[in-house]
Amino acid sequence: MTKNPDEELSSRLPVMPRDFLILLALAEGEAHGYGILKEVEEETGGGVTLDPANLYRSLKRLMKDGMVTESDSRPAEDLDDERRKYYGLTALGARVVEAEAERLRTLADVALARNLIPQSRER
Amino acid sequence: MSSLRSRWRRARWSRVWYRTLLLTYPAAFRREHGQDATDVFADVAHAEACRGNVALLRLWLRSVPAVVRGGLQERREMNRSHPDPSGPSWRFETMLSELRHSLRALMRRPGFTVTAVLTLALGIGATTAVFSVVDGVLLRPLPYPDADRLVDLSHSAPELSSGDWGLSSAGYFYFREHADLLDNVGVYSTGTAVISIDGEPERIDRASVSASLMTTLGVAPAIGRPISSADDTPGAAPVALLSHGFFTRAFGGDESVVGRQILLSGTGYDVIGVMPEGFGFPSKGIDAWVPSQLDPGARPVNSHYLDAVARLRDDASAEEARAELAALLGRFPEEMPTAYGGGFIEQSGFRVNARELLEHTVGDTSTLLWIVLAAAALVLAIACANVANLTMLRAESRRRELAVRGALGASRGAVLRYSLLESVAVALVGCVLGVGLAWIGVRLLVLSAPAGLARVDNIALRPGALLLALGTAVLVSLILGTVSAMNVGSDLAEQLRSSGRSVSADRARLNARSVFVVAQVAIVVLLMVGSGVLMRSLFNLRAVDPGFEADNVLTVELSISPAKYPDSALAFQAFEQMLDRIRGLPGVTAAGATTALPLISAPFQNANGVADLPDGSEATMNIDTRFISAGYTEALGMELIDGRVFDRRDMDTANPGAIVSRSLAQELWPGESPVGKRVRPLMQDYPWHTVVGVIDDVREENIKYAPEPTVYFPYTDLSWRSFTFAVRTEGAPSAILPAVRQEVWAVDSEVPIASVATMEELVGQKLSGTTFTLSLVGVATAMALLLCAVGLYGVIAYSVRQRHFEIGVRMALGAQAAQVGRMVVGQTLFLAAIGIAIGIVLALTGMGVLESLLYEVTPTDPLTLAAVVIGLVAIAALAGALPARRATKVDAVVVLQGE
Repeated sequence: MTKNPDEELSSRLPVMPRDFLILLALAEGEAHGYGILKEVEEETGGGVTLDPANLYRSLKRLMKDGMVTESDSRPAEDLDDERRKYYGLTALGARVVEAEAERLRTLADVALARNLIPQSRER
Repeated sequence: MSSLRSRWRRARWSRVWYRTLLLTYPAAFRREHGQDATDVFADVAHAEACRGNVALLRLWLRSVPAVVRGGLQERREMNRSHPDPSGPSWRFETMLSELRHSLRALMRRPGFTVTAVLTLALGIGATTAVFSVVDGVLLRPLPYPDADRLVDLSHSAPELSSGDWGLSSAGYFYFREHADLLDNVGVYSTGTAVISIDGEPERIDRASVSASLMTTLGVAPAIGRPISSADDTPGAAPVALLSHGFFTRAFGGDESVVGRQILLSGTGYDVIGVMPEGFGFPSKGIDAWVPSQLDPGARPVNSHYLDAVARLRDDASAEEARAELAALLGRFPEEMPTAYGGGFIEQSGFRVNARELLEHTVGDTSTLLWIVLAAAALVLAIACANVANLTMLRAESRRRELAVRGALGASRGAVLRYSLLESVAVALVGCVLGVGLAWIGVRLLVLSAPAGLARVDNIALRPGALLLALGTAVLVSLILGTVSAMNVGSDLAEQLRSSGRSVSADRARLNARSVFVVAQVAIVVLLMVGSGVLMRSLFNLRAVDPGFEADNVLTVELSISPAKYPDSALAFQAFEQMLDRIRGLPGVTAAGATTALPLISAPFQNANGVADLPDGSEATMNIDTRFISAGYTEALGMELIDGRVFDRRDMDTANPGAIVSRSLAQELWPGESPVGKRVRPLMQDYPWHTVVGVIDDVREENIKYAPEPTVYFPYTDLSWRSFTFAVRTEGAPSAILPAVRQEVWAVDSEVPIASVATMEELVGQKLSGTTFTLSLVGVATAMALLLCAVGLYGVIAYSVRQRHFEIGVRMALGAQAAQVGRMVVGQTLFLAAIGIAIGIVLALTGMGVLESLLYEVTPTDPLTLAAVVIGLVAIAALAGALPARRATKVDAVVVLQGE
């Protein structure tokens, strides 16, 4: 039972906020667990600190859903750490990030049009 | 470097912490991602640790809810995909709900919960508190490096006296030179000195020590330099080391005092240093240490006033050292004939002892504390038995509920777990409360500790004691869990059938509970016999006639400045003036001075010359010696049995008098009056003293021991400037103190007055060891008795409830209320009797440990045993009477209709 790509994409949306943050972090490039954690912290200006176990719960689900994969490729040798697993986005994952971002922007535009977002916070 | 290491250590703990939290996750998840998640957490923790401990702690705490929530969600999600009721995740969630359920169930029955928790808290609290005392006093090493290598050296001469003797100066030098198994030997003696601080004369405690003492102990001054062997040579310029406390108190902690000269009793001492804070040897109260300046070349004399401590060589045992010292002692007569010749060693049974310093420091208190600990442990045992009983009663009243749960599909394990969780909750809360009680208890124990209990300041609630409390709680939960388990039968149908109405109580279960009650009674017997004989012993001690009258005597210690009175004659003139003025006070009937009060201070064990023996010869003997003024024997109420007491004439140093005790008179001059015979102390070239009177024997050393033969010489023999005054009054002795002080200061306004106490207080303090043990064992006994009575009552009351139907039938068949009541009380007494019998057997075999604390009462005193039996039977009857009353109120009609 194969789904067509669009169907497959829309069934993944919306993405849970925590998963979205992880996907966003991985969109920057492959990373290991601690790297993802740091990236998420940066993305949110330190507002979100994931608990490591919860991070892996999300990664596990995202892998099961085919959006994230454990990566075989390694970064430059001097930066590498033997014991760490690296994670990266699959093609599907990349498209899901894009679609979710698009969805969020549409929603944000609506909010902006209705003056629900104060001017000072507009970028 | 060290901060790196400590960060690394904290990172390690972070891993342990996180891995523990991860237990909330299903095992499958942990297998797959546990290691990765822990690694990441360790990285985060490392980053936080760099920002400080608070940040790290905050991370740790923050992760608890996050991980637990995540773990539970993960389990739920896993269940959704693999619904397996016996799977691990199911069990975990069930357990949480079971715990909640248990807690709620406990809250619903506050009667049971409060009783059980308080009972356990009492037992755990008592044990933990007493253990803390035992730990601090007996188990912790002394605060010196390799303290287990330190031994106390002393002599004893059992044929002459019961107490321990110190070393002689010559003996010390001899041992120090010849004992190969001793690394070092140091000697010390204590005394007092007067110092003027801000113009106020103050009496301080000082120790004269050999230069080797501090090196033997392995302690160096915190400021300045130690006493050198040059300082310790006769004639060297006097130097002093100050205690940290005295340094702070008298000199405001000003380090410039080191190098300055201070006046101690009129002599200038150069302050060379300050000892570390907390150091106090031989006792905490010592303010200054000065070199004893013993002369190795002096003529050896048989005078044993030096306390000694030695450090064993690393490869030597105390046993080997003792053997070596004993061999060296054998050479004393030929090496030091002036002191030990003439068969002295054989006649006196003279020997040398080397006891571990800790054992020496702690002394008799060791037995006392172990006994109190045993009493506390017994209370804990009773408390456990009681709670076990309560748990059983409760479990039985809920058997039906549990059986229904079982029938509805709860596995036997689930039902068991449910009961066990309750026990754990009760035990843990009891433990926490118990530790709180112990905290209070330790403070109370320290406050009420007998005077002279060594190392009181070392007593604290330490982790070891807390661990003990926790361990006890775990043990208790296990016991309670087992007890609960016994109530969960395997056959549910059988349980459902039998847990309804029953004609007779379930014998097996009743017996299990009876066993606990019998054990409680037996333990109570043990405790009651113990406190009973201690009480009798105390009464006996109080009834002993010490040979003096302690009531209405005020004692004060006075020291005058040798600088102000360089001449002995002047000093005694001042003392005599003070005594005269005090005697003139209204309400004062007698006053006198002494070097050593009976029971309080040890006498001199002096070599004395004795002349006019029945065969006309002279001899040298060691006799207990005390130095007193005129008026002293009257002030203490000692009884004159021959001749006269001292008056001013006997204080004449050219023609001095002497008083002998009755037993000395009998020993030296049997059958004749000693008045007119001659004796003299041999410390210096004293003239012969003429005996002027005989007083009845006084228990000078210890109220437990038979009086030692004693001789009393005039205090003017000594060149001391410090004496204890005893003032006998008509009214309350403490009321006279201001007047006494005024009279003393009228003679010399610079005399410090110290150690003010009534003789009754001093004697009371002497008995405080026994009083302390008795009061603690007494409290333990009272607690045990109460718990035991409650236990008996509980079991009987329950069995009466169980037998309502049977009793109803009996009454319907014509049994009288009185008969039913007798039956119930009889059942109680039967249980009590078994317990009493076992307890008596235990007491007969185990009470020997009390022997050393008892005075004129055997540990298995029949009178005490009888009193205990009667008392316990009465209490058992009372505990049975209430349920019996209820049994007689059973209305046969109602009961039978109800069935």
